[in-house]
Amino acid sequence: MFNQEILFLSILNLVLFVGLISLLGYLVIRKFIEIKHQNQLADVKNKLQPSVINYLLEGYFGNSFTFKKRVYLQAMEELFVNYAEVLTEEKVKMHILDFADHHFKHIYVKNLSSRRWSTRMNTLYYIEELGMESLIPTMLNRMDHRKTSQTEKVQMLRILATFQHPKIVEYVSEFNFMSDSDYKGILLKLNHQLLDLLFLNYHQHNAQLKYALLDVIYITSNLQYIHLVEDIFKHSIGEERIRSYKALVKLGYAQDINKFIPLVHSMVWEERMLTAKLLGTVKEQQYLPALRELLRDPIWWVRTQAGHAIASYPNSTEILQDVVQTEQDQFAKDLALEWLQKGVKNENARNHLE
Amino acid sequence: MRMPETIWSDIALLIGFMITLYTIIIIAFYLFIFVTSAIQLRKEYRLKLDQSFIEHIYGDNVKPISILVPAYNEEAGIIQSVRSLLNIHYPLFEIIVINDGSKDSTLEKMIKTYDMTPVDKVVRTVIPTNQIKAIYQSEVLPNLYLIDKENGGKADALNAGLNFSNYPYFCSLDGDSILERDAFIKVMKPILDSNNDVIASGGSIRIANGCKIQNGNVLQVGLSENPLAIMQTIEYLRAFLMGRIGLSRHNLLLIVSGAFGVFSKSWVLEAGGYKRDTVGEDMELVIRLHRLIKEKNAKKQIVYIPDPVCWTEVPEEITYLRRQRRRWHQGLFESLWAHKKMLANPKYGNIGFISLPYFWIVEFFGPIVEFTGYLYMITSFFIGGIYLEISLLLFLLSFLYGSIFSMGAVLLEEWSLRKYPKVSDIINLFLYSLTETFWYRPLTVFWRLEGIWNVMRGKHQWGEMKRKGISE
Repeated sequence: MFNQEILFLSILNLVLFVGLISLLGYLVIRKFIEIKHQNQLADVKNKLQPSVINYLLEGYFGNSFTFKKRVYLQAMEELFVNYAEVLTEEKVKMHILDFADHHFKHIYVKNLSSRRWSTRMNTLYYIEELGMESLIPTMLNRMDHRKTSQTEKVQMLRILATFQHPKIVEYVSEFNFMSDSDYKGILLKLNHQLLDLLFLNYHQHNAQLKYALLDVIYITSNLQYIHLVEDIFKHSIGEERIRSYKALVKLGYAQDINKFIPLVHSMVWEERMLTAKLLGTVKEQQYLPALRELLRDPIWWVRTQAGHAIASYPNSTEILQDVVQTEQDQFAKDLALEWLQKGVKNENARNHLE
Repeated sequence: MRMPETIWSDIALLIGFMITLYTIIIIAFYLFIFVTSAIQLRKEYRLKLDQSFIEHIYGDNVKPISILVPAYNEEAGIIQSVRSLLNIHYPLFEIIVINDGSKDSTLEKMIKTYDMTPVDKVVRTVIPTNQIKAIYQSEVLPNLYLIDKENGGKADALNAGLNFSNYPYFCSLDGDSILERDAFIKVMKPILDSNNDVIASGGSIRIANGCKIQNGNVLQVGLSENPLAIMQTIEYLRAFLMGRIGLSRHNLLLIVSGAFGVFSKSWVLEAGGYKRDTVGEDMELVIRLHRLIKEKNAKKQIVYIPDPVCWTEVPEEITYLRRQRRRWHQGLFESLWAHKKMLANPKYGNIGFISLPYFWIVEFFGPIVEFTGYLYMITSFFIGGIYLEISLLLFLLSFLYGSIFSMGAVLLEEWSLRKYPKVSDIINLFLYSLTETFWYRPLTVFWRLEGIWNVMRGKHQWGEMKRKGISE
């Protein structure tokens, strides 16, 4: 009754089984070749190493090598990437670039239009590591290609940013799929002229780009944009307001501290935390009551920041001891105690390390 | 009037058909997941991931993590576990070991090795837990804490750690696991890349038995010589490479393994922390998070990354493996039962219509069907005729479902991630997976059936696990 089904399933199992066995055969052979290749690569790298150092520093190889074989080029690629991270002199960079433009460029051009995504990605990493500006036109062509993924685009923008390519402003404003950490990685590489162009159209950008721009001011402490940030702080809400406040605090914007005191009672805990930080930078006794209030905050981050701020006062030990003795609130007490102990702990850790 | 024998034979035929149909549906489902996974894995094939992570190491925007290590009688492995954590590449983290009333020398070992002294700290009780006896901080490593509390189970220990933790993201880690150095960077990447839309992220778990591990670092990946450990290696490959990648792709993931996953603390606290007195607290939490996401109508995700980031020891003796599987099955039931209202509830979308039914039908009731199938095959031997034909059909299907899929998973690993350096390891794995249908699969079916039996009797059986410690 089920003869046909049984026959079908038997054949299916057999076919799959044979298929898997052949796949295994293929993978095993591939693995053998791969292992052999890896060993060979390691050998070549060892052989090349002294000459490569010579080349990087002096501009010529001690021995003559023919870079026709794939394994030699791959070894050079890996050695260069290793050295590019350690040796940052201009001269070394020039020599790497000379070699790369001569030997790798045509391979990379081909790789960039490879059908395999990971090949394209790896090539982009190498282009960034080796600093190959000459491939920018090829990348710009790829940028609008239908198959180019978002990850590739982000990586390309990083490379464009490294070379301060003017097109970057357009792309950054246009692409709305990036996260603020992607944006930040790119913006932090840009020079003032390009950043200015982006700040010029600040209000037209998408939220993530806005956040990233504010964070860039925060990270670089760039005073040039202080009025813009102040303006944003006044007229924004939510995350944008918090980030602009964070930048203001970092810039040490303390012309009129009293303006910010009401934020001790802000509904947004980030704002309370930042206010604690701000008060910590001015270290004036009149703000101590506000800080002590923040020490009782339900949010741990606010309490810690308040503790940190108090600890930066010149008479911090006295204040903290007073908190420990007089304060009713357990958290405030706990935190004061922690900050009192912290000095001791760090001291101990340092001694141990030495 | 029909003869009673014909009625019986009709019933027997019907059962045969049902089991066959069930198996075919499951095979189809797995095939779909297998293909999704293979495409995803192949896409990232040979990507030099390290480079893309480097930038994240230096960013100003990395989120600090609290690492919670619940420990109950973990004296064999706890020191190495903590040491492997100290080696990780991540800019800002704290390690919180929670000694859950161990009866062995876990506490003393920690205090002695890491020079821990008691500190005065008030812990904010967001989630109620058993009494905390003392809190210690390391003199040499200020970001290492130890909470000593009354025994209350793993979930209770994790909740105590959550209450104490300071950072916005946390990760729970078993005391007997070894993390790869880049584990946190890799697992946090989806969270950072998604503008915090990802609220939980889990990594692959691989089996440490047979690997060369020293001072909390995996020096060389290898394969154990113990058949049970090899079979579990295959099982994990199959579960992680095939199952989870496919499910994660459609946001259907119900398990972020307890052994390694990062969660957003605020979401977990809002969901109420870990549920006490359940065996599968990790799965239960993930279901609850999904529930919260849907109820709040939030666009949040739970993801899984295929890169193996965590190495864990598995039982090599049948007694312990059997206990583990019984326990897991009970845990599965508890989680599913606690959220039975979500099943086929339109409010919960794909989770209610695909994930949960899958876990009920395939994972939970699977053993009953499979066991019936085995009985069927044995009985048909004596009866013969058409039943023998059905049995043959069933056997062929189960070979496809068990052995063929497992062999596929092994090859998928070698085709994409390629963690095993030796050719002989791959061949061994392949040959062992060929035998799966004949001994290992029936064994696990039987153990899981015991789990169901325990559930029916209302019996809670935790069973202590024995560890030998995986690090030299």
